[in-house]
Amino acid sequence: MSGAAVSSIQKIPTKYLRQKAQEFLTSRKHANNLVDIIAQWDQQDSGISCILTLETIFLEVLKRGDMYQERTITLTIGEPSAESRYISWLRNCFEEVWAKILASIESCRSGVQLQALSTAIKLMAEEGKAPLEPTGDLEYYFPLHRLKHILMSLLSPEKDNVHLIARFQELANYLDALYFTWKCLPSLTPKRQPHEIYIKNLLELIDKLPLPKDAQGEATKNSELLCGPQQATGGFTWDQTSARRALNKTWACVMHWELTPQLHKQLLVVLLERVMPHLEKPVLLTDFLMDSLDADGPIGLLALQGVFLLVTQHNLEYPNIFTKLYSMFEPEIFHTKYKARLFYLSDLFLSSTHIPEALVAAFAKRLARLTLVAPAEDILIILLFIGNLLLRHPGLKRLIDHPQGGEVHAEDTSSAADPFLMEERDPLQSNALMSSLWEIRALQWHVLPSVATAARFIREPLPSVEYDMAAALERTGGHIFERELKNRVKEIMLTFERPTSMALPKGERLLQYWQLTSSH
Amino acid sequence: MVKVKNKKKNLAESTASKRDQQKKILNPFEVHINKEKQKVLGRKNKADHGLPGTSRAKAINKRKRTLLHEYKVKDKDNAFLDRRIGEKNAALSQEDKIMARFAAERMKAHKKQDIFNLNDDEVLTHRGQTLAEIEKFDDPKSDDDEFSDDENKTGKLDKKFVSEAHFGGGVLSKPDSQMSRRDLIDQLIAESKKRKAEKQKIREQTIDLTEKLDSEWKDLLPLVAASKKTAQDSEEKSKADDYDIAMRELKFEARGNPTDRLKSEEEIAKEEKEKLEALEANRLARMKGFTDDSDGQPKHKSADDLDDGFYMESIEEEPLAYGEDGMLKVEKKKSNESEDHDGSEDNKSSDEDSGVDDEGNALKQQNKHIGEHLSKNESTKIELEDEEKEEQEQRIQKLENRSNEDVEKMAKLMGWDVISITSKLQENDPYDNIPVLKISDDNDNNNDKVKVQSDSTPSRTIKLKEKNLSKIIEEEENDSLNETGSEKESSEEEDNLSDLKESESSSEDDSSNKKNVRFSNSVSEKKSVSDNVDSTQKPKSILKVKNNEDSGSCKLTDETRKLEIKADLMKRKEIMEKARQELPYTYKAPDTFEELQELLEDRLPDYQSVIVERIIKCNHPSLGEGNNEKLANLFAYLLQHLNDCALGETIEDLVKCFQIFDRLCPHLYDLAHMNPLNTKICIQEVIKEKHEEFERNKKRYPGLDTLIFLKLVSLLFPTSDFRHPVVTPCLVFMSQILTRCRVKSRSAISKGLFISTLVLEYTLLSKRFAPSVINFLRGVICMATAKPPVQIIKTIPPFKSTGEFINLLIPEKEQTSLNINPKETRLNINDLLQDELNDEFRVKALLVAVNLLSEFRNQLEELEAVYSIFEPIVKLLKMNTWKRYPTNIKEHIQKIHKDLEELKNKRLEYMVLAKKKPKALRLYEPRIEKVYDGKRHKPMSKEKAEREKLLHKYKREMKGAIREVRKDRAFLAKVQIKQQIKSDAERKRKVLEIFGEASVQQGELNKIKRKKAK
Repeated sequence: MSGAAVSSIQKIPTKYLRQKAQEFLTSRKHANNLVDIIAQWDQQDSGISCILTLETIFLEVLKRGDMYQERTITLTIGEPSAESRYISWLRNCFEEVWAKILASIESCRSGVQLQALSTAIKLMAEEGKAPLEPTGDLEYYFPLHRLKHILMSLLSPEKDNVHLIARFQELANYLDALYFTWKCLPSLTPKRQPHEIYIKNLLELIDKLPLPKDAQGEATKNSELLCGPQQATGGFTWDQTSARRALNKTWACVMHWELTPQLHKQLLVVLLERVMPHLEKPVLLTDFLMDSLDADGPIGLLALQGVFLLVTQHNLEYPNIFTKLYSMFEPEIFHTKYKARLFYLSDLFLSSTHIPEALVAAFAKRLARLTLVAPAEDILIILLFIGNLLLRHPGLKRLIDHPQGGEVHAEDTSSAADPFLMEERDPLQSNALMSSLWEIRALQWHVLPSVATAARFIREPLPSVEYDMAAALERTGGHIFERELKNRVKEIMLTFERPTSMALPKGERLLQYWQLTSSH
Repeated sequence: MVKVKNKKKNLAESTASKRDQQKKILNPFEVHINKEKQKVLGRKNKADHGLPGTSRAKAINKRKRTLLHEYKVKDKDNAFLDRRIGEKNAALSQEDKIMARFAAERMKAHKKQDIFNLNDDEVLTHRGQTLAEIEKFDDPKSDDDEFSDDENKTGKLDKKFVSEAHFGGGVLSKPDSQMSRRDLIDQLIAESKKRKAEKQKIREQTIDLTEKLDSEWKDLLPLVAASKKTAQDSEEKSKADDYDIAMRELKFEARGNPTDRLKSEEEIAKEEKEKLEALEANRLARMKGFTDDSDGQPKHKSADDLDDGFYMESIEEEPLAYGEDGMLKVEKKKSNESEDHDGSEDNKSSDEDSGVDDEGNALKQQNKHIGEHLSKNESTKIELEDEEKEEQEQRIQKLENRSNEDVEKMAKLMGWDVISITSKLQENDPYDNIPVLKISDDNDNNNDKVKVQSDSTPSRTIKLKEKNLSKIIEEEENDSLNETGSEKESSEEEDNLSDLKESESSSEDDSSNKKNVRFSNSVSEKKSVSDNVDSTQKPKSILKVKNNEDSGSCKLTDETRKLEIKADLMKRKEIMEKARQELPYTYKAPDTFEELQELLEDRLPDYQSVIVERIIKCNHPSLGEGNNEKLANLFAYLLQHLNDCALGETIEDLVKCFQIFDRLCPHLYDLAHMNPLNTKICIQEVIKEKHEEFERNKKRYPGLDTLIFLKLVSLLFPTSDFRHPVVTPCLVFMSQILTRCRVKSRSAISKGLFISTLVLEYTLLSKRFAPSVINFLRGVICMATAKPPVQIIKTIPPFKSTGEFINLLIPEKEQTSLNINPKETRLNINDLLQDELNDEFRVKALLVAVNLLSEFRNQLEELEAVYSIFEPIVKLLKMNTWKRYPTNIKEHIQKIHKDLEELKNKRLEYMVLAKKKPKALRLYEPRIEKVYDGKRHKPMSKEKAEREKLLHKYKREMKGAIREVRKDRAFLAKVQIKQQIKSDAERKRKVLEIFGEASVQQGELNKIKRKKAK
């Protein structure tokens, strides 16, 4: 009952609004309808319908060019004509509506927000096609002031606008919009420390906005334009240098901000994936990355990737990079999201065949140690990784096939028999070459058959082609579970000793440590 | 050296001379040269010349040696072969020959089959009779009295006569006898004749008498028959009809078909044992899993592949060693392989086996055996508390009060029991199950008792034995109770009731009041006694643990557990009895889960067990077509039932749930065996469902409903398999739980420990390594470790190195007065439920974690990387000061810590790849190229060509053979004709001679005639 009542109440104004809009559009007699509709905006929860109505009205008005006004220098300071008065009234209404739309982008209801954003974009596009004023000799008209406002409301310092930015990302398909967005950004980034949420939004936005490497050529022709085609001018041209400059400017500001660890991580991700290739002087990042390197966990890892890029592409010299990488292999990595990245990176780092064997051996040995605490799916990755290392560096064979064999001679009795030093931070001094991969042999006794079989590779001659790690990196524990369930067998084996209670006929352990069938 | 040279020289000379001879003999006229049509360079022709004369002579000579010889001995059968040793050897002297023959004779005697016969082979005789025959002293003429002593019935001469008369004995032995030899013989003849006459006479008399009797009887006969027939005649006839009917029925009744002989109990047990052994071997093979396919037998073996025969098999030679009790250690080792954990138990059981064997034989040995134990457990003796001594002495005093008669009677009564039990024990294989272990423990107890006593007389040991045995019997009954119906058990009851009572009266005063106690009651009382006994024994067993560290803890807990189980069983038995009587006997298999619920709802666990048992019995697959599916459904419903039970929220609910689970386990096992495939599917589904539930909330420990199924899996499926469709997913699941779930509360820690225990149970036999469990235990221990203020101890997620939960398990107050036995710490069902922690739980959880750790340590000991695995934990344990813990716990943990530290000293060997067997060169079939030989061959298939070749060869051989045969015949014919000619000539000569003689005679006759005429 109540639901029906609510809908009926809502329905009437929607219908009513639509009717009013229709009337407004058909004749100027009903011009005051517009005021009524705008007045509706704040009155009730019919926000979306109101926005929609106004959108249709102004789209139509813009299309008709009803708001177009020649910028003529009126010599007579007399009464403006009725026509011009109507136009200016209409334009005032339009501005009012814009203000309201921008306000509702920052409103609290996400539905309204999204609708407002799309309306704003549509209106902006229409305005671009049919400018309110003569564009003059501008090569390509784009309603920049509108875009700027939209961006400002997106990058609000109060609210996390991830979903809106995701929506805004659709705009990035239009080259002109993208270009002008980039152009706007430097003016929107403050030099001094902004609010955290603002940074987050900005980073999100930068992450979402692509910057084509060289869009000048074919991209200009192929892609659509938001406000085009415009008859008057020659059309839109992508200016790569200015776009890059805008990005560099923006980033120069961003780099000075102080960051929380969370943002630091996000920033590094954006930097590495989006910004880095477009920076003019990436070497300037060195200090920032070096500072980041000292942080633990994912930040350090991401920084390491940045440093690696600098080293490989920009001739940075950083000898400690392997030590740094070495120190990243800690048991905790298995529980971070960046595990796959780390393995990918270290695979890349260690792909060179010119690094000393002792170093690679230390990596192999350390990884092997980690398998003793790692979850099954990671053990599989590490095993492949170690296998690849052994393949690339034939000298490492001594880890699984010692040339002399025999017993290990411990230097002093106090330390463990294994000469490898897990605590040593310098991989070159960890004595890895004096050790053997006993850990992998231990893994042959792992409870999971898949791991145990994978660990068997050390018993057989290594293959000629490296193992492919890509598939293994994506695997999770759930995969292993499912695969084991699917495992088909011919015969289902059962125990052959009949239990008389819940205790196993032999080897019962649970009841040895648990009192289950009585309460005390 | 010189010799060799000479020899060579000789050889060379001889060949040279031979060649010379050949050359000398070669007479150009004897050489036949085969002409060669074309001379081919380099070809050596064997047959370029022949020597027809010599070869013919050779052939003839050969025939002379063979064929002629045969011809000569034709139709002559006998041939004399002199096989006397050394007869043909002229080198041997006569004495040597005799010696050699004697030696051969002795050898032959020793080669006889009965080499184990210690008696001499030579049969000693006396007067032609073997001594054995003489010693029989049997009198051959016992049945027939008509012959006198002097003469046996065979008509031979008697002994006396022979000794006197034969071989002139009469003359020599009795030189002074008056009678001459002739007289003697005459006398003898006369006597024998006389005797025969007498005999004849008696026989005639008997015949006469019998005839007379017969005739008289015939006269009497009609009288007797008439008197009998009158009344009974008709009756008998009708009766006979019944009888006939019955008889015919019996006659035509289907007779029992001959079947296989019923197997004796021993045989059944033996078969059972063999079956189990085979299954065990199978299980071990599956456990090894991958090792099989990698270094198994080579897949293909070529027929002429020599290399593959060179496959090295590692033969594990076990050193022959004896244990302290003189038993072969081989058995122990075997059991170690399978049951690594309680090797010492096995050891014990095996020596108990021997002990019990002895029981059956003689009590003396029994004493000796106990004596052994005494010496073995001397250290224990000293440690016994005074109170306990008193207590035990009192008990013994009571035992002594009993009269000796009583004891003997008991011994008799128990006699058969002893035997039956010994036989059972003998049947048991090294992997004994509980009953035997129990026995061993009981024996231990007894031994201790005896030891405390100042002087142990045999009678007392008997008493103790009896008590002991009665216990065993109880246990057996319990077993049978669980397994089979009550009928079987009742019979046993009757058998043992008396002695049970008696033994009871010996140990318990108050029991004399109730003479007619019901069996079950008495048993439970008995149980309490044994419990009592055990509680006094506890300190002792701890000391024992010190002797054999590794298995100590499990043994101890086994003991107590067993006793608890026993007590529990007793109680249960009563309830079960009641349940059996109260419940209806037949049940329909439930078609829906609701039906099952109706049946089981609000029932006691034992009742439920009985109901399920009866459902299974009533719907056994052998009884009906659709029963298999019904039982498959039942299995699924039971799982659901368990699941529902485990969802209970109060402790009582959960205790009941575990009780139900406990009772249902055997039935679930039976159901699983009826339909393994269905079981697998059901359990897999359940696990999958639980896993999905877990995936939805990965950070929270799953409920008891999940844990209980994980336990069920270990009961139904062999967890040691390398890969198993049910067990492996469960292991994955458990690892996931341990690596992901947050450990924040008491219940989380408990559940984690529960799962750790389960993983231990799963991997016990296969000794596999599960990192997640070690990590979890590390986290738990870390939580219990007081950290130094600045240092952050690294932990592995899900444990955090910082935050509010890092000190969760550090006791808040000093707990030094807490009384917990570190080896028997058991967590409670309560711990799985509650979230708030208390200090007792903190200590207990740590203890359980450490105990588990020690078990894992033993399990992984053989891995090279074992120290690396436990290193972080060792460091944690080192860090802790254990100030807040009681001293015994502190010591216990420090001992385990020391054990772990010791792993560091494990010697490592560098890894070396197994040497690959060098790959054999591939062997190809010889490639035969055709050579042009100028002959044309018909194109034909290989087989046909082969056949042709064979035929050709056959023909040639045939020809050759025929030729030879012809030659033989010609040779023989020649010989024959020669003989013929020779004999003809002889005859001619003889004829001529005769003619000559005759003509001479004629001439003489003529001469005479002529003279006459003249």
